[in-house]
Amino acid sequence: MTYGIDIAGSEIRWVRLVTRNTSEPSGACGRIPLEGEGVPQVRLKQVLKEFFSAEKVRGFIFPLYGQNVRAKLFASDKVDISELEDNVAWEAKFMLSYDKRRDVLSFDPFRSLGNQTWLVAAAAPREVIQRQTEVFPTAPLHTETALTALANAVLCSKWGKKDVMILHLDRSRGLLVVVSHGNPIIMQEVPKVNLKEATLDENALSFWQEELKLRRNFIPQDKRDLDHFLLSGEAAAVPVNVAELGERIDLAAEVFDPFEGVNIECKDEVSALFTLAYACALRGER
Amino acid sequence: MIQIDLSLPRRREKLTSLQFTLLFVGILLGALVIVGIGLVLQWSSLNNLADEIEDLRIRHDSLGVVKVELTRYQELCSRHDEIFLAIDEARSVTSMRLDILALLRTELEPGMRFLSARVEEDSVVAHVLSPSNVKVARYVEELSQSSFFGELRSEPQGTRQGLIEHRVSLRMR
Repeated sequence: MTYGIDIAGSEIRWVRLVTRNTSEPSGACGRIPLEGEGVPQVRLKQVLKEFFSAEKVRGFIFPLYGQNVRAKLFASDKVDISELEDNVAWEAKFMLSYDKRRDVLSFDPFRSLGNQTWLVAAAAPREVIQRQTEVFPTAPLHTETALTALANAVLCSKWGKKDVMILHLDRSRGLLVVVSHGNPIIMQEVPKVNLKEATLDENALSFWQEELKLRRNFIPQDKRDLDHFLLSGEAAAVPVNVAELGERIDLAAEVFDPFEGVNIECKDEVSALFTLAYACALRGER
Repeated sequence: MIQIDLSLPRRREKLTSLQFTLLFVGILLGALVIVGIGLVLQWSSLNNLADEIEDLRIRHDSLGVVKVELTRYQELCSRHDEIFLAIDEARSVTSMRLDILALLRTELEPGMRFLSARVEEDSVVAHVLSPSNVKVARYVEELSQSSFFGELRSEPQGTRQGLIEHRVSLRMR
């Protein structure tokens, strides 16, 4: 049993997942409201401690996001794992601006095709990892990034084999992932997101239209034809947002449902809120 | 599924005030218990030490008495030895004087009579009666051959009971 715990600004979203010894994953989810944005660290620690105590949490994973947390997919023709590590560090130095004195780097050679290995590398400043980890009363099973968690959520869903763009948009954060041919070819966090309300007004829609178009231009020319646009997070709770954004970027749009095909007891009807928490819990069960 | 892990070694949690207080009180109580046990043990050993000191003092006093007795005994022994030495010396002197007297009597010539003798530390003066001066001369001659006397001198003192009284002076060797 693993908990995915997502501290999303004004609330904590959690998903408990059990997949071992069962044919289908099952679990539960919930939200713990916090007193507004920017809750003091001490209060957050206290809330989490009470939650851990009440739920008897043993294993958990949380998504790391924020300043300078980055992830990237790149290909390497090195197949020998001993050379791969040096190669990744060397490539990450340029692709992720990785500085080993300041950052922590992790990579996963998650797919091989012929002589080519597709690697996902993630890096984050040591200080950010420390700050976000120390609010929890115990150490997590793994330290996941929100970007790779969002990519995992898509890859493990029915959309994993399609070419899709997913935007996880909360009031205080925006994460964009593009999956193409089973590879998360873009994983980016949009900085300085500060939505006043979940419903996107005209200005916000224009901003996100431009932002999505701009980032779509980062995709190689031959992979720009996407099947769908998916919306997740607080913005997905408002149906008009997904329709408007899909129309503006000229893609069929849908709300991403991470719980599709999964037996999760959840009082909350908006399962898209739990995308990151679910992906983290799923990671712990794999 | 992408499996990256950016975990850092977790820093040790800081102690809360309550934990710190409990730890402090625990350490304090532990220290007090240890000090208490130490003091009790020390007190017990001090008691034993005091008993031993008292015992030693009593033994010291009794040994003092024994020492005084021993000193007295040694004094007595010393005096006893002195007395015995004096007795031996006196016995020796007496014995020597008896020998001298015996010698003075033994060496008398026929017809001579021994009157008296005064034995001093370094001399003997004997009074004898003799029918003739020749016999006295022989008597003195015999005495001079003994190991006791060195210088001898005979002086007639007149007559007594029809015999010549002689005063014989003998100097001891």
